[in-house]
Parts: sequence; C-alpha cells; structure tokens
Amino acid sequence: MLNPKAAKGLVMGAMGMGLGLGSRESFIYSADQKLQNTSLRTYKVLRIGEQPEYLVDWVETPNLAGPYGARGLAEHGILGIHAALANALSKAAGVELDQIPIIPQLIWEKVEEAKL
Amino acid sequence: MITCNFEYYRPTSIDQAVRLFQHLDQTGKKPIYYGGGTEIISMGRMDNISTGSVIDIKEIPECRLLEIRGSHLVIGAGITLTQIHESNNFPLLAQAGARVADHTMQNKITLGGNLCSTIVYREAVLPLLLTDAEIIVAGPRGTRALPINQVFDQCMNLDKGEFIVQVKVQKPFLSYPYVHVKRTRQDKIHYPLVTICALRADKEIRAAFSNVCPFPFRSRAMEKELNRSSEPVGRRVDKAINLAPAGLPNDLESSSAYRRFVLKNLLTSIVTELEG
Repeated sequence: MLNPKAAKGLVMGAMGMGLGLGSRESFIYSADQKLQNTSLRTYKVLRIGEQPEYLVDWVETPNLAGPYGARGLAEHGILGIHAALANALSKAAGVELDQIPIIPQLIWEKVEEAKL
Repeated sequence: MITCNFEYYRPTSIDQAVRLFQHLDQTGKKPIYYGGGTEIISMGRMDNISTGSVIDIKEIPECRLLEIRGSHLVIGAGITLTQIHESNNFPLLAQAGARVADHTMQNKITLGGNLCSTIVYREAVLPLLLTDAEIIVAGPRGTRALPINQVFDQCMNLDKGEFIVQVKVQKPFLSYPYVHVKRTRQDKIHYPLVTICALRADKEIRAAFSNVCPFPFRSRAMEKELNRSSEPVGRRVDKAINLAPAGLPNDLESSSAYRRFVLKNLLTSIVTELEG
C-alpha cells in the first residue's frame, strides 16, 4: 500500500457514490425523451448528513508487474455496493429487488406485485 | 449569473412600499415584492424571471414583528422560517417551516415569500389554513385584514400591487395538539411527496395537505369524513382521500398509486394519534 489514507478515502468516496446510485440517483425522462431532472434540486445525490459509517479494510495481493507490487485502485469501492444494498433490502422486504435506484416506491411496487 | 438588470429598493414604511410599486409599475419597471429572494435569485439564474425592479419589504417595521400582541401571535411577512423555528411560538408552523428546502435556505426564506411562492408546495400555508389565520395585506386600497381561507385558494390571491404585511393567529390555536409529517421520494431534504399538517381543535380534527393535489389545500369535506368517529379509521380515511379536490398527481416524486398508499398510512396514524 503506497498511500493508505488516500486509498481509504478513495474507497469510502466510491462506496458513498455506490450508495447514491443504488438508492436515489437516476435520470428521469418524459414520454418524449426530455430529461426531467436537470439540476441538483431534482437529481439528488447523497448528502453529507446521510452518509453511514464506512468500514474499509484490505486484502493485499502484490501485483508483480507493478512498481513495488502496486496496482491501481480506482473504482473498486463502487462495484459491490448497489448489489449489497439490493441484497439487504430484498431480504428485508421479502421480494427480489433487481433494479436501481431502490426508492421506497419501488419496494412497495415489488411487494404489491408479489401479492398478485 | 442573473442576466437581467434590476433596481433594488428597500422602503421603510408600508406607504412607501405601496407608492414605490405604483410608481415603478407606471414607469414599466415591472416591480416585484422581495422577501428572502431565494426564488427570485434561483429563477433569475435560470432565466425564468425578468424584472426591472424589486422592492424588499424586510425593513418595514410591521413586517419584522414576531411576538404575542394581545390575543394574537403576530408574525411579520419578512420573518424567516429559521426565526419562526427558533422562537417556537407556533410549534406546528415552526416544524412545517423547518422542513422547507434546507437550513441555509430557511435562513433566507420568509413567511410572506413562502406563502406567495410560485413553486407549488407552499408548506408554510398549511398551519395557517388550520388555525383560521388572518392575513394583513397592504396595497393601493389601503391595509386589509383577510381570513386565510378566503384569500388563499390554491395560491395566495392578492390584487396587483398588494403584499402580505403580517399573519395573525389567535393564541389558543398555538397550543392545540398537532401533527406534522412530510414524506419525500427518498431524501429528507426534498420537495414533498406528501406533507400533512393536522390539528385537533374542539375535538374536531383539521387537516391540510401539500402535493396531495397540485396545490396546497384544506378540505372541509375531507375533515367531515375523518371526524366520523362512529366508523373505523381505515374506512374514514379512504372516503376522505376520495374527496380530495383534485386527482392525486403522477409526478417526479411518486406515482399517484404510491401517493395514495403513503397518504392512507399517514392519515390513519394521524387520526389515531389525535383521537387517542
């Protein structure tokens, strides 16, 4: 690990981004394909007060081709988060939530569908 | 950036403000009264508003009052939502205001500005509809006191050149049991999917709504159903929702079906709580 603090910050930021994508961020289009949420007033991202506690830890596998065994980190933090959120909420609601963003209305719709 | 140039005036009396409006109007300056400015500024930036002049009413002494006077609480139109929340003279209004936009905006948004907003939610009007507030309005015809339930019909219906000076609420209403709930699509700070203010006055439940219809309202017909205490709560709530003055909207916040589900749950728990 060349820069542990930067790496932790990167992964935490990515996890926050993943949670935002999983729970609220999406483009909404009208029937004639005009974008409806064109500002941060209507395209909502996770606010600072909504951030949960992030636990970041490492399994270090040196990349022998890289300098000092280092490898790029980039977006690893994002990848699993929507799925983790979807799995947790699916389990809680008792229905398969397989699309994002998972907003309360979506959970309600899936629960209603399952009743039919 | 705001692309139109406009003149800024800050009169110190009601009279001055009214005369200024008439003068600016006659000289083609398309004046608008200015409270906190959040809407004028944000709409100006989007090029959705064009004006030649604004008249800030916050330096008019009558618009700056926030106190009990005799049998009423008097709130000046230039008082901010944050000031109302911090004074907590009127807890229901304090709570409703504290969920409009975010805290930075609440520091700027005035009561008068929220009531006259062009954005449809106008959540600060709900507590006033429930408490039969009196709206003091000034304009070319002089100063008038109007019952809120007369002057507010979907939006504030003022004559040209008029502005809200004050809102007066009778003291007993300030301590009646109340509930305020706001639900959004997802985030705490957002436009309402549904906002409900409810109050129990003389054993009768009163309720007012934002974004249940495309305008805020209080409905006597709905209240009558909600108060039919011989019937089970669920049935009363269903009947009340069917009496909403317009269809439940399908909008960016929710589908009308989900809105009905949320509304039904909230009203059921509100009625149960206020009757309990």
